[in-house]
Amino acid sequence: MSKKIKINKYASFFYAGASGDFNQIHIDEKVAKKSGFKGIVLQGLCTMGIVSNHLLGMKNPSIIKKIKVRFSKPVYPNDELKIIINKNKFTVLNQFDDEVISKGEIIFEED
Amino acid sequence: MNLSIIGKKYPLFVYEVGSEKIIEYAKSTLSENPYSTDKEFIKNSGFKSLIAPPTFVATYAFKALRYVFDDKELNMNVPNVMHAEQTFEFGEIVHSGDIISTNVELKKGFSKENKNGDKIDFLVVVSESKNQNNKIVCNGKWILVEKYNV
Repeated sequence: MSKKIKINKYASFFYAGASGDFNQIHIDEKVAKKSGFKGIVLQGLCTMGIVSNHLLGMKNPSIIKKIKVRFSKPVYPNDELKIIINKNKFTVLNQFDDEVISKGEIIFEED
Repeated sequence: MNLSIIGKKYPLFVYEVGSEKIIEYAKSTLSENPYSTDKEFIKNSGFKSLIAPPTFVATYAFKALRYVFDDKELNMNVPNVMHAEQTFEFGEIVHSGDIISTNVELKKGFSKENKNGDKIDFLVVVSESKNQNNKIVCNGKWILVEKYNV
């Protein structure tokens, strides 16, 4: 299991600027709530990026050959995530032990 | 959304990778990996320039995906669309200075009903990104879901 990964309060805004994903559910509380969420939702690809970077560590990024995820539940600012990894498969849990990423798979060059 | 237009392809989107954007993206995804954030490390390691984190594809291909989100013919209600699944398969590594061209196609679409009888549309979008040497850097499979009666 990984150490806990704290999602910054403004993470979805930082990520929107970096990626261009300004979908309103990621930056506008009212729109997010109207869409059925409890508040602003972190971009799924941000969670995927955080997890893949965590699994990569300080190695050369070129060793990752494939990554696959299912976004099971929303991730919110201030959530605390932990990654459960078993060989090439992983899941990501939030602070309530809900699976936010399921059926994760990562393939490294050395595999 | 209008799933009758499955098979539609969108214009090629060309993106020039900048070193500061790689650093910004890496930091926004909590990376301190020196290959993506430390220009001195790269210089001393013999690489030509910073290496993008693998999921930086989210930046150069997402801009191609905008064609899908903004497609009036597809008529997606974007705030009700959830990203359900994502697969990336990587080829050549992406450096700052690379020119990445991405093609996007609506590959598959179908509808289901959930247990409440509400309609849910599933859309499978595929992307293919190549560098300036016509080498594949990433193939992506994006599964998007639009819920009704939210």
